[in-house]
Amino acid sequence: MRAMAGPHHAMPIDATAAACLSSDGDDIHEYPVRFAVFILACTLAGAVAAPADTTSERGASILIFPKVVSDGGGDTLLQLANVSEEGRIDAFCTYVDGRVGWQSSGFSLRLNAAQPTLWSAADGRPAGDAGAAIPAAPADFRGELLCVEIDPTGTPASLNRLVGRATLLPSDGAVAAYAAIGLSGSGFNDGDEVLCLGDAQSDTCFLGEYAACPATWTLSHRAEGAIDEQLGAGSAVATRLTVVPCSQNVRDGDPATVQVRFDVTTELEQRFTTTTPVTCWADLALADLGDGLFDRAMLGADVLQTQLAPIDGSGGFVVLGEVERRSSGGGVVSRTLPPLHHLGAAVAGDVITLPMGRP
Amino acid sequence: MSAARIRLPMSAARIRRPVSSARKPSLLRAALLAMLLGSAAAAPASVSSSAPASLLVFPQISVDAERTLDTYIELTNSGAATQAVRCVYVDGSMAAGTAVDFRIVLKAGQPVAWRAGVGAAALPRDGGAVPPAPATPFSGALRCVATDVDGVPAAGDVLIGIATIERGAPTIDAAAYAATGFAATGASADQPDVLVLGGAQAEYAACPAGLALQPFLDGARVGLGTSLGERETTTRIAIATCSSDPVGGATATVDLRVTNEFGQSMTHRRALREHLVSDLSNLDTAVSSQSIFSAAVAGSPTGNVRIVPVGSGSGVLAIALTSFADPRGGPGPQTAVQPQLLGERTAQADLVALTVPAAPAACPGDCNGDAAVAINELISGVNIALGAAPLSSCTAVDSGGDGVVAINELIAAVNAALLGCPA
Repeated sequence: MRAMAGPHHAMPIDATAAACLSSDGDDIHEYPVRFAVFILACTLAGAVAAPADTTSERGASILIFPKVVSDGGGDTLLQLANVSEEGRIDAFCTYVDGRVGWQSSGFSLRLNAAQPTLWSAADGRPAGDAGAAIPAAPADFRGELLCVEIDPTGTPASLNRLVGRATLLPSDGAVAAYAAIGLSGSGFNDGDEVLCLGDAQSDTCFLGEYAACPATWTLSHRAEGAIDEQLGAGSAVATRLTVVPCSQNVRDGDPATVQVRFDVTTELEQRFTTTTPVTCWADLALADLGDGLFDRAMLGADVLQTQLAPIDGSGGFVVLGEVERRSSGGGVVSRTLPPLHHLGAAVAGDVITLPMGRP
Repeated sequence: MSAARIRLPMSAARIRRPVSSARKPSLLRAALLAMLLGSAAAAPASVSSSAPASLLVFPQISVDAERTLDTYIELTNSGAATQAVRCVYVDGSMAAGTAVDFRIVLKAGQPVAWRAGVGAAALPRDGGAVPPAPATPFSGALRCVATDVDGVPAAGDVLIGIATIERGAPTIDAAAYAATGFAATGASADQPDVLVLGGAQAEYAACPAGLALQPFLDGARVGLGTSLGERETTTRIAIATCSSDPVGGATATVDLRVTNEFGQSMTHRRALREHLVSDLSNLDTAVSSQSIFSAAVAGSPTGNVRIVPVGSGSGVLAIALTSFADPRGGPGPQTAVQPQLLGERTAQADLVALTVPAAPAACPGDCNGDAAVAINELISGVNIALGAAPLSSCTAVDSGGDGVVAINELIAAVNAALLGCPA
């Protein structure tokens, strides 16, 4: 990509797109044919640029691991991989504590073509043949891991080669795993520490550098307290959600707040709604929301579809669903992390601000 | 990587971009931007496990009563209108009578659920019935496609599906994955019983050109914290062909490449028909300790496993389950490993046949398959006809296979009881 001088800083943008953006609109009157060709070139440049998307099943340039726990009782195994066979990538990652005012702890790593890596949040990874050391998460940590693809100079990049996976190791032994939520790069990236998600324009974001967070998340699950047929009488199913706002000012430790609306449809076509705010990071039990809205006893139905969406004007968010199956004694006997589906793009643009002077 | 090696090119001053007249977007600039991003955003029909789709494929449905194994299936209509759905179970054995299809109806926004081993006698809101999986044990795939009211496949990117494979013994555990969804292209279905995925006449998104997943390799020893200690892992992978032929079985040949944490790779080629389930370390050899998918051979506990269809065969989908063995014996807790979808197959189409071969002639009313119809089995048939018992309690009485027990079918069962089962 050709660097282009601008009024503020270098902008390593695709060359054709850069030319498009610097265009002066007065050209159309003086050189109509040239302008028509110019329009065509801009359109083709747009067609070549990859559509930005939220994904857990394709390489991305930003990965969010919504739930990482390393608090003495539990641990989390973290995996990152370069899904491409074409070249290496670098990534900057930061543990962001969800409970202590967005305190973060960052590190970088490099992955060669198709290379995976593994470490535990409690122990990190020592330096060796697989690469440089990866630090452990801070003590008593409950929060997220954020990873951003960078080039060798530390500049955010949009190669879309990162995939990730986390295995939760809770103290109750009910192990479960999930794929990190990826935000793909759009191909337009000015390389600064302000990462612009989605197309909404603002003082800090003129172009969408990465996919917007989804407009809607959909969770298929059972009502709270529904009996698990396999476990039998006295058993119960419970669902938890980890919600992380997409706007994250990690640099200044300034947490964002989102307003989450829950639209519930039961298998009997009954519909209910509730809302809740989330600041910084939240691990929510559905049983605690909506004054019993999700309870089997209240709903009279076992099977639910819940759609989560930001209330108008609120920023986007990512969600991790967690289903606990409990025996009649109340203990968790198994835990699953069913993937959520998503649709659309959050209207309000989100911004991730990375810390300065990161390694 | 030391702190000195990678630095941002920016100053430490807080960066803000004031909207000066030089940068403030003109109407034309905004129009150009809209064209650029609009062109980029106009994506063709896609395959995904995270977006609603018209065709869902569950690559692994497991039912085994002896091992207390079953699969809890959740199917949701995320759209704003009623949606008819046609589904087909196909067992990996391809044995006669191990495929079955059924039709259900989902109201707007309605979720439904059933266990594959049990089915559902009647889904809520007149949604129809779901038969149990057609084989015991059953290990195969489930495909569900949106249709019109006549059962003809039609575009309807509203379906989402989750499967939870539940194990009851020796230890209770479960693992969940999302069905792979194929969006419709909008092209009409020229053959109502054959779905075209990808290719020049595509009715649905193309199958991925490859898959990638990062499981724990077999025999890896992984620390699971203080409560579980160190456990040895086994990953079992189910690979289903994108094409499906319930009569003859679709075939595929895949290259399986594993890259360890040091960037070293090894490859093996494997053929399969319709559905394959195997421990990772048995994909290439009967001796697991010598497999390229064993941690000992690969040299690291995890690997990046790439599955790429080759030749003229079908594309593939997959899902893997990793177990962390209990030192006292048994598989221990398990987690699902859902692969990444790499590219799309552009050179050739995959065909999904929905026609299910007729089951071999069964003895009407012979609930337990002992080639004889007893009084209690006749009573079961009557109870089913009266709605006092689910069809799943004796599917043999529904000799017509339409989900309803009619008088003629009861008479056939009585005749079988009096005269003996047909030879």
